[in-house]
Amino acid sequence: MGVRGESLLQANKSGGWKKKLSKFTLPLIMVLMWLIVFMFEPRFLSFENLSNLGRQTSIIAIVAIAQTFVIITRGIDLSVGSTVGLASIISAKLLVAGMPVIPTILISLLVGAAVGIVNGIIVHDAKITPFIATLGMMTILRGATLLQSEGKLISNVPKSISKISESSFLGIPVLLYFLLFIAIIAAIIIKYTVFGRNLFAIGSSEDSARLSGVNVRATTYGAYMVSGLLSAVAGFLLTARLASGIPTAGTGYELDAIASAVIGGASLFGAQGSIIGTVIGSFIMTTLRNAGNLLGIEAFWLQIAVGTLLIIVVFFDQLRKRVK
Amino acid sequence: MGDAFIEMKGIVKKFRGTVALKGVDFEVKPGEIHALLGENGAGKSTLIKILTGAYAPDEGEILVADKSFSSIPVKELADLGISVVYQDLKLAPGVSIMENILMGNLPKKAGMFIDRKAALQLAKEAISKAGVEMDPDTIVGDLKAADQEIVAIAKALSKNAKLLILDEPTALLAEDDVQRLFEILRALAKKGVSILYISHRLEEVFTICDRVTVLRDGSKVWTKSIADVSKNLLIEAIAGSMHAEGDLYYKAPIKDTLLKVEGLSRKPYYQQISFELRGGEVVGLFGLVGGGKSEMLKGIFGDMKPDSGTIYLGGERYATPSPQASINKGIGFVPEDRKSEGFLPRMPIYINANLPAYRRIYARSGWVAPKAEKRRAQALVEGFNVKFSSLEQDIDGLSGGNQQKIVVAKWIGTKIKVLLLDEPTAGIDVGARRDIFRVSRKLADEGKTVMYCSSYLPEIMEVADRILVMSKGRITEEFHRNDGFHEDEIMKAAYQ
Repeated sequence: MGVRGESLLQANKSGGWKKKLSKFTLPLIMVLMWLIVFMFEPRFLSFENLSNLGRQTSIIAIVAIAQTFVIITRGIDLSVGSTVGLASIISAKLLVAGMPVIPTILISLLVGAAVGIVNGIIVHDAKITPFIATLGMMTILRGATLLQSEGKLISNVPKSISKISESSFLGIPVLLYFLLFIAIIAAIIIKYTVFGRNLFAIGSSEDSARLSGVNVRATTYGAYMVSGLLSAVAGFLLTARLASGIPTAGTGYELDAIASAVIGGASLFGAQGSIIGTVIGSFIMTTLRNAGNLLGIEAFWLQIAVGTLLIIVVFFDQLRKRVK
Repeated sequence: MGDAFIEMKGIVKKFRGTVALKGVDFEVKPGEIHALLGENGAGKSTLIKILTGAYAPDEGEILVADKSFSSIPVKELADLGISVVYQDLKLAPGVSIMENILMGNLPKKAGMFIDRKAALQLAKEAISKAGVEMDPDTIVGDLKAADQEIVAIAKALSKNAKLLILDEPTALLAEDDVQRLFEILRALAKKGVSILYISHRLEEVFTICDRVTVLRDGSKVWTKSIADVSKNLLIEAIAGSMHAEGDLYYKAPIKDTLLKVEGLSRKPYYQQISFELRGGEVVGLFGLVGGGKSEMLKGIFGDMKPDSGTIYLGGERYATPSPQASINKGIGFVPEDRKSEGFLPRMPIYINANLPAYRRIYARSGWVAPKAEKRRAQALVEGFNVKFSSLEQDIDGLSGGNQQKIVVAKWIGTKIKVLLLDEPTAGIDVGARRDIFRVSRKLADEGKTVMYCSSYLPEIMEVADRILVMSKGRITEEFHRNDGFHEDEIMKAAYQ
């Protein structure tokens, strides 16, 4: 049909390069940030510091990936931080009790997935808004974590575990491999599976999705389950990194995770977000903190900077959409 | 003239090529209840929007109490005494009657605190102007539909309305509440308030109105005193002499029954619905807006369960547990509300076009390949003349007609046997309308069946083999193309 030729022409003329450019804006911002910090403090791009940056980012980036699954469905998961804490304490206790690594990880993951499914049930079946449902879950889990640990730090985690976080392979910290592996799997799920399509569909319009045959219940459960699962992975890695279980570990991670996802292009209105964006968002946030430390900027100022960055990024993103 | 409260002269309004109003003269006298009638798309809502300042006319003059305007300034609407009560009322259900009535004009003390005493007084005045008694502190959401309607009217009156525009005020009311509303309206008219009454229900027009104006295709047919009008005359004026646009209809061979419905009911929407859809036919379901058509379709599709009744699919009893199950069984559904139920906003065209396919085609493996998806989407929308710049473009940027074509196209690729269309041409242009007609006929020709629901008779007459008429939740009559479709008879059945 004649329409087709015309349409393809238009696509090449207008849609193409602008879209490509906006795709690279975020990595560009990150690289620019790195160069600026490097100018003030050459140590920033030292191998040692970059490794450190990678370690700092990996755990929060995994939680941010978890969050992205839920945000795409137009939900929010405030319980990710507490899930990190719970998984961290559970794995620390199990390890101290002498359980091998693999079963420990599996049990932590199971707990995380169970938390996620309960979140999904509260959101989908009890029809409680995600914000309230997961706010409640966040508080419950933190309480459970403190109960489990009697509010105390669990030390004496076997040395072999903390090696996971300290060691490197081909010069790159093992933690970064974890992140890379999880990010690739998550990106594939989001881009190339029916489940991924359904996440976006219910985030765009739950009614349209339902009336076109999307299983809204299974998709909602799935999103929160992935979120709980990945948060539990982060919890285990945190125990490895800290070589102990800290009952308050993961506090505030939910906000960092949301901020990373949003800086990375996810929208709290749903149906928008990407794994690569979220990971870069996490790196941008950690870079600010890391660079601040190197440059001797007070931590309190850094908090102000992170908050400001979040607002500015979202403002420009909205501006871009309005113009479009 | 002088004796009219509001007078419109030679109003012309164009929208990108189409002319919505072609030089309409219209007036409402003080203390008169004036009915404005016409089919969907006849120009009623455009006229109302001009009266309320939402649109500026391209040509013509509007006189309000002998003051001339080229368009009604929205900011002066309240001062001019024009008030509208929309069909959806636009009330805030969570707050009290008082706060609803005085919304935006709550009297204040010391510049910031609510002056409760004065507010109560004002609210009571407004309520008594409407001729009823109500506790101003009652939460609006707790009221029944009729009382909410009255609150909306009281709110309009609180702004000293001299012209009250009521858009389908009885659409959601039970019969005795309608009578109560009529008493209130009569009392208001006696006090000199002009009422512009918009409704699809002709009996009501005869009961309550003094004069009636009929619009058709953007022109005024006539304005007459209700005493000079018969129901048949009114129906003829509304529907006009309808002629098909051409040769879109052709007969397809009729095959076995694909879907059979027996005694389907869900209160208060529809009762005792029975019909059969056979392969090879397009069955029109004609009825007025709010007559229970959408709910019945959702009942069949499994999204809003019927209270009772049986559905047979290909001879087997089918319990319609969910939309997913219906799609698996080969039923497709295009909902009335395209924007919130039809497509996925802020999502690319190719995903929208593939949406039901994720269940039917891709679900077995669970994997999707964007390249294959795009190829599939391209094939689907190509057959439909969709105008777009890129398959990755968000669907929101397309025109209503192109959006709807994608919503219909997405079902074509999923091996459906039964397609349910609910007002598929609402708000779309003639070209897109004809494309949807064509696809309906083509599906029938392929041995499938289409149920085409609309409140616009001419299009049903053009596309359908049979027409079922639904009125007040029941199927009142059935017409066959072989016997000839007579618009007046069909209209009568709809207004039964």
